[in-house]
Amino acid sequence: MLHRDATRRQRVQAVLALGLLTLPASACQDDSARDDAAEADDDDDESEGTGAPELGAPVACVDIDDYFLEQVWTPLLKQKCFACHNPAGAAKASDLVLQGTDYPGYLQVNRQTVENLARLEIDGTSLLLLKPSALVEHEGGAQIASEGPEWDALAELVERSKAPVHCVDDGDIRAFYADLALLDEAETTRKAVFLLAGRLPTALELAAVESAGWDGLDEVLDLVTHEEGFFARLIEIYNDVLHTDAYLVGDDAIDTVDSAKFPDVRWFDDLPEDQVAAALNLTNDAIAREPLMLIDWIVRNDEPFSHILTANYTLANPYSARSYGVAMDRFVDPNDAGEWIPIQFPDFPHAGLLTTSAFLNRYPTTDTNRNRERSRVLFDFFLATDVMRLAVRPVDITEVDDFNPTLYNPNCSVCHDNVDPIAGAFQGFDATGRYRPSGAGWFADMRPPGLGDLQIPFDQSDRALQWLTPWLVQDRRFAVAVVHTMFTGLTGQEPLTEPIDEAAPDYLQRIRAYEAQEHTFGEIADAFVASNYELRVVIKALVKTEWFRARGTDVPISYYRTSELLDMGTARVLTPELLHRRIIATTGIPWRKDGTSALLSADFYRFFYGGIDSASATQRLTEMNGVMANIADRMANEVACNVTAYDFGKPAADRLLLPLVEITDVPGDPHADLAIRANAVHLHQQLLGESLERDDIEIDRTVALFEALLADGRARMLDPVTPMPTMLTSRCQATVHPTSGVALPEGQQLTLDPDYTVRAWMGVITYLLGDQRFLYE
Amino acid sequence: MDRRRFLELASVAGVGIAGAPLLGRADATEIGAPHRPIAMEDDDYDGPLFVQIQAAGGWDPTMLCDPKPTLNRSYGEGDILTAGNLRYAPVAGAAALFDAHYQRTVFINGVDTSTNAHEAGRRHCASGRLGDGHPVLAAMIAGHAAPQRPMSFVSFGSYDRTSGLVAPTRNGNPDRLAELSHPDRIDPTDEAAGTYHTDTGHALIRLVRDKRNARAREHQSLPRFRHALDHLTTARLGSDGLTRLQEVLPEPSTTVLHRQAQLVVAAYKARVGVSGNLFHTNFDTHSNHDADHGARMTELCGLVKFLWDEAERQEVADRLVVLITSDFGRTPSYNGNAGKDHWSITSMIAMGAGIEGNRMVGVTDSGHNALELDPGTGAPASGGIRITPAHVHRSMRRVLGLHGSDVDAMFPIALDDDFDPLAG
Repeated sequence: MLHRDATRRQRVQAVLALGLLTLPASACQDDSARDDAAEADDDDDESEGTGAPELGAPVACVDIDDYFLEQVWTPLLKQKCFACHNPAGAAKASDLVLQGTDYPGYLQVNRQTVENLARLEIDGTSLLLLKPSALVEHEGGAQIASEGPEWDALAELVERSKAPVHCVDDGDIRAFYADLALLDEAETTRKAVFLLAGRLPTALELAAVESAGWDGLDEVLDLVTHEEGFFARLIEIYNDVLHTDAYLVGDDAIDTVDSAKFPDVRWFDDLPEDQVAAALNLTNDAIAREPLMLIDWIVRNDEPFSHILTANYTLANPYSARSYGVAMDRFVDPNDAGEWIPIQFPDFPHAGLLTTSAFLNRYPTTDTNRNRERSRVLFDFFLATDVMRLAVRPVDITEVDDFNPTLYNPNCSVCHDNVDPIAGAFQGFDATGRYRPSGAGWFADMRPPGLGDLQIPFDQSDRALQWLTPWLVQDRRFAVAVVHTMFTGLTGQEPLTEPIDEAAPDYLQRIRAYEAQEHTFGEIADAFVASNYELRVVIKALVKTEWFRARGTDVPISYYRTSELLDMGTARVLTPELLHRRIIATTGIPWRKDGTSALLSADFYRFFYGGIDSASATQRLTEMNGVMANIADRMANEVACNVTAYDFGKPAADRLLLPLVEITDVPGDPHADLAIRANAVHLHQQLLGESLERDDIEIDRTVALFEALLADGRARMLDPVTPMPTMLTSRCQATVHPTSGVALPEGQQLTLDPDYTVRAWMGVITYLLGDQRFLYE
Repeated sequence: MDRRRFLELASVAGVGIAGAPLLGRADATEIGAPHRPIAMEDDDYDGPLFVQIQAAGGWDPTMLCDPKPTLNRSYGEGDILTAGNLRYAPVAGAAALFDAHYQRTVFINGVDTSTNAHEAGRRHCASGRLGDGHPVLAAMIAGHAAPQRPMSFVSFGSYDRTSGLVAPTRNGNPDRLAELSHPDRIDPTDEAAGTYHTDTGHALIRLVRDKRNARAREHQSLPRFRHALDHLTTARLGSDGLTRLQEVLPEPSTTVLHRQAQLVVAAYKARVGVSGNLFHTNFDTHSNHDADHGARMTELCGLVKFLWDEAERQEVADRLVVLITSDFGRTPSYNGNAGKDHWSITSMIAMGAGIEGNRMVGVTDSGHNALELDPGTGAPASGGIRITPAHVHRSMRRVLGLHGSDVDAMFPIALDDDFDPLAG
């Protein structure tokens, strides 16, 4: 395994090799006051200009990790402390157990350990100074003098730890993106509008972007993100995180409600028998959707997005309101399941979606788990922290023989120090999510309830979570988590995680990609906070990033560069929901079978196409497999069959797919040739979002396919033995509306195809509906 | 349209080369052959059917393959059972499994997962690497052997990262597989109902798509886009084979868990699958350990027994290889809720073709601590090595014929010794 500093040297060499150090200098970020630091960054940039620093020149920003490595670990801790203060050493039971170089991420782990010790003081002096100088009892005796460079180095670390500084080279970040080819404003608009609202941009919207550029896109997105289609997507995106839609089954959500507190929870049982099922379904859905509808409500009403965790209310529609005993006169229409209002439960400490019964039951606890699972998912969903990853580095659990190891043994406390305080914040809620404050406080053998160093006052125990969440959302990680969630929701890609295997051959490339993305997302998170948590700020910024817009590179790229760009650009297989919407958006009709959506129905292809049920299947498939390929092929065949004659039957001006040709246009006639080619250009734009010239090779290919299909079909129509009929097969005829089944006006019906042009265009549409650009985003 | 014009168009479209249709009917396979080099019928993979089974939550090996009566309240020394050289705890269902299959079974005990975190442990045992990055072994062999098969790697959950080697397949409504077997048919169950396009038409569409994809790939430099194009092309290569799956899929078992095994075995039998990743959950018994964990062990043994029975019924048992893993082990002592917590020492069980069975490898002491071993003999030796998941995975790669392969090189296992727990 490479030594960490050797790896750092490699990184520097790699950067030098790319000539990146000739770019503008660094900026700093402060863990505790990043907003201020961000402002300082701007100042730094302006004052330092753009001149190239000389190699070896002093660097203004000193990263805390660099300081620790160069001034503390290498000359001091490694030389004088590590021999005893290691997991197997004489001081293995002390508060200072350092890890060796064979330990993934050992420097960061050691810095954290040292900082924890540094916070402990006697009479205002840190134990980090008192112990090694033997000014307090130290079994290892005096290892450093009570004054001098070693003392000073440790003292400076103590100070630096109070406001740790991380340096980021902005020039390096910009260089990372330099050779990428990006979607332009119009292409970005099409992609963003579809992924946000499930539709194509209107001509008006495209014109606005064309005239005003990126500002125009912002204006378009401001409107798009107030549409119903967007709110459906928002719920989908956050359900992919929360998976509370698992309760949209039977009366599963109703069963999560505290029936002792809400005795009317099954109010529908008193209805006439023929009304019970419908009322049960509506009530169940309302309770299951409570956390997601809270998110919907907050964004819909332009509230700060942080309210998703701090709102002192929940949401109800008339059906769940009846379960909760809320008066019906609060609703405009007590039978409208789409009418949602904020409500408060009496004597109940609401903390946004965290205290909804759907959330608490989706992430239950046990007597021994003590809300740690709830804490883990809170970290994961809302603090951008995978606490399980903290324990990725090797531990020797068989060395754990402490009393209460989760509190005292570093093998356990590495996670529990983080998890347990927030677990304590859930203390008022029992295993099934019922609010049952004990009044006796939390377990003494766990870390006190809170977040990091912040402790929840004992007199706030009954409303611990409600007390904590306003603090929690101020943690910068909350903003980062929102950026991550929206990025994944839009692109289907997880944000990059920091590579920990420094010996991996692609470590340098991966760390560069990670740092670039972290920097970009961090800037968005800061803007989000500065906007008072306006979610649309995140969305508008994300769609302009290289991570959303990259479509290639301007120049051939090396193997090294390819490794850096492994995760650049979105190439996701559309989810069943998104493919369903794309079919409608582009063709005007859905893909339905037996009266239901073929892609959304669990009875048909929802799971085979990689969809989820939020219960047993929670991970979407992101790669196309053979079964999915066959679904895509069947979709292309069936949708083309349903839509081609139907589209031709409409007046040309109303057609979505074939507005520029008629069924009488056959090749050979100059006018028809032009029309066929023009319509091929239109189809590429309409279905694939490709803006191609009439003489583009892909248009040549599509026109050639049309003509080849036509030639084949016309030849078969002339077959003297079994001539192909002029009548379209019944399923592909336009006699009824493809969605409603209502008979079409006689003038719009189309059953005959005497020149085979309908079927040839049907083949072209099949071709394009099965294209990678249609099936992927 | 004249011949010259058609050839011109066909050339542009990437359609007609040698033997291509002119103005008449074409033979779809004749057109398709040059562009579909690995059609299912040409797939010659006849190697192992590899099934990985994950006991999610962290199993207690002392309740199965590494019996420790002093650490368990549910049985005593005299209750320990044997099958050949195997010793195992008297959990219901274990005897039926091991009595039948001990000759092909190896217990690997004292495996050090080096973690007490679920996800990390699951990943370590399923991929052979503690950190991120390595695919689950079942995805490795599928990606190596026949990624074009439409159900090459069937996964039911737990750790199933593929690292881009192969697209996983998820179970859905099996009643729909018939219509998916014939996407070109208007009525999938009625061949006489015809197809949406002529046979030539379908062939033309496929060929033009292939040409367009090839050009897109040629002009694309970003790896994600190229990867997506490759996957789509690969997925379409083998998509014809689903027809055969229909012919071998049995009636679904009344035990839901067993349906996982049915599908994976049937997919292999039909030459549409290579490997499967099955899982059973709820092994994380921090309370009421004996009753709850024992029930899970019984269900797990039942699943493995059913898998072998199904493989024999489908006449592929001679090619079945099984690896059973979990997140980690459980503590030697009970907690205050009669449960057991996380313990980094665990066991793994390997079974099947190429494995020297009827053996127990690795040793733990009475406190379920892993003893160090002489890497040459496998006997306890102070100062020796500890078995890690990496050892087992390196051995399993050998058994599966992956040593020296591209995937082996892409995801290397770094060990300083040559210990091979699966070699006799």
